[in-house]
Amino acid sequence: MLQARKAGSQATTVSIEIQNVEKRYPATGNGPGTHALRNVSLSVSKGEVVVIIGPSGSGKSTLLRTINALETVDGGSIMVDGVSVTDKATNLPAFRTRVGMVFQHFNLFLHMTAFRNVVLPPIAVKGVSKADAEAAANKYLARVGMLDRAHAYPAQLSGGQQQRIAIARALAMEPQVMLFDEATSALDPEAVGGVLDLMRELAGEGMTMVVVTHEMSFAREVADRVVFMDAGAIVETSTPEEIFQNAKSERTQKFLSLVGSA
Amino acid sequence: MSEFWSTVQSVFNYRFVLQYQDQFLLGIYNTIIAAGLSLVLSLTFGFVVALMRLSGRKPLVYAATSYIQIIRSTPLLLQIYIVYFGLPSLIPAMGRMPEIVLGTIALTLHTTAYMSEIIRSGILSVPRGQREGAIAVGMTTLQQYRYVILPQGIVNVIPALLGQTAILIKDTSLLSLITVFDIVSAGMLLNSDLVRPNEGFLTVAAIFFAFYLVMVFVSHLVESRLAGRGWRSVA
Ligand SMILES: Nc1ncnc2c1ncn2[C@@H]1O[C@H](COP(=O)(O)OP(=O)(O)O)[C@@H](O)[C@H]1O
Ligand SMILES: [Mg+2]
Repeated sequence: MLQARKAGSQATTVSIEIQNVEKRYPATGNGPGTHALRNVSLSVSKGEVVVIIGPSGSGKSTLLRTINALETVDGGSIMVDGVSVTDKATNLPAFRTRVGMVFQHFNLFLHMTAFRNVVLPPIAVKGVSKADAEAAANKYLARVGMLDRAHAYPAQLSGGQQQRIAIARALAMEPQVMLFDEATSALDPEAVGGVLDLMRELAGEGMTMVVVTHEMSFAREVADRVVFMDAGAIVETSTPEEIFQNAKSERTQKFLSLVGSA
Repeated sequence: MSEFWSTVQSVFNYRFVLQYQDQFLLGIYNTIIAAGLSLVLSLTFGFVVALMRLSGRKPLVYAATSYIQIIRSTPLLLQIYIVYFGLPSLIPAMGRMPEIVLGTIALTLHTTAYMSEIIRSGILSVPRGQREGAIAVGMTTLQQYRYVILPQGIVNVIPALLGQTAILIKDTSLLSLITVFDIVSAGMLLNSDLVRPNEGFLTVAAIFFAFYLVMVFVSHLVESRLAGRGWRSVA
């Protein structure tokens, strides 16, 4: 599936290199373990937008979260911009400053204003000066259209507004890669479009992005490649045209007909 | 009017209190020292014990849990006696320590157990997503605690922390049993000298109540310092 890309790409153009990753969630008192990722390999080039689709529980979030080591892996390796995420010696906090993550439920710091949410991480984590961080916060909040709500707390904002601020927070770290985990799934229908537009703009500017979404129209329009996952494995990886018009796997076809985009 | 005042003064004559003002001040001073130091130390150690219990490492969890259970299951007065009589026999140098130091050690050992449980529940009250947001922007564990988990977690348990602090302040009165001159001692002295229980003990009660009001005020300050006012409001 990914050999075609890999063969042609130079080391410098590869952003994310996931090789044979295995992930198991251990059994707990109230349930058996899950084999969440089965021999998953995926390579993402710089500036590429990869959209991951698949049924609920297929391991999309888990895969995304292994990229910035929010989840550890049980096998295989992951490199991001030349840094091995799966190497125990890697300084993960420092590495994570290069990878922005946008969550389904925003995860803004609830006890801080929107402005502080965006200003704090560069100051606390990267040692950026207060003045520079504030200038950057103003810039990114303006960019996501939230400057006028900068001094509101997350609880005073709608889901769509919170997600825009979460995107500004991630961008203020000036990441090389952005990960989106169902960034619009928790939003009211009228807020979805605005957040997708922002993501589309970012993609247009050449940001390397890995996007988990159920918005098939976004996948179709914005993705360079679409990955279909099922039961912890990558079933199929293709261009959007390929996948939406003539998916090779029956499981992909079935999924797409269920979500109404075939 | 003067008849009214003489009635009041026969029940409570503030002049007797003023006469013992130095003793009350000494009692207040000792209570502030013992409770203040114990508060700061028990919050610090309580945080450490809470982290031990949350660490998931068996020896640490076991040590922390045992400590909490032993403290909870025995009376504070016994703990004070054990420290007061036991420590000096173990470490002779402790025998030369003032009573208030030994008393403060006992209060700290006691209060740490309770504070650690409150702090632990505060830490656990912070939604998982808050920590993930902090991890994702590259915060180290220390930064996650400093900027996100502790401010939110502590604000969530301020009522419980305030309650435990009030208990700590009241518990300093037990130190009078190891000859620390506390506020209750001052009231006792007044009453045994003058046989004026109202002036003696109502004054003591008023002082404790004033302490409590100060702590309520401080807890509001801490709350607004850690988390701005709007963070719980609804859109
Ligand atoms: N923290 C966890 N502990 C145990 N099992 C988990 C955990 N997170 C996810 N899983 C399981 O792993 C599988 C993949 O989950 P996930 O990656 O969230 O799927 P998706 O994002 O595609 O819906 C599911 O079966 C889910 O129940
Ligand atoms: Mg998911």
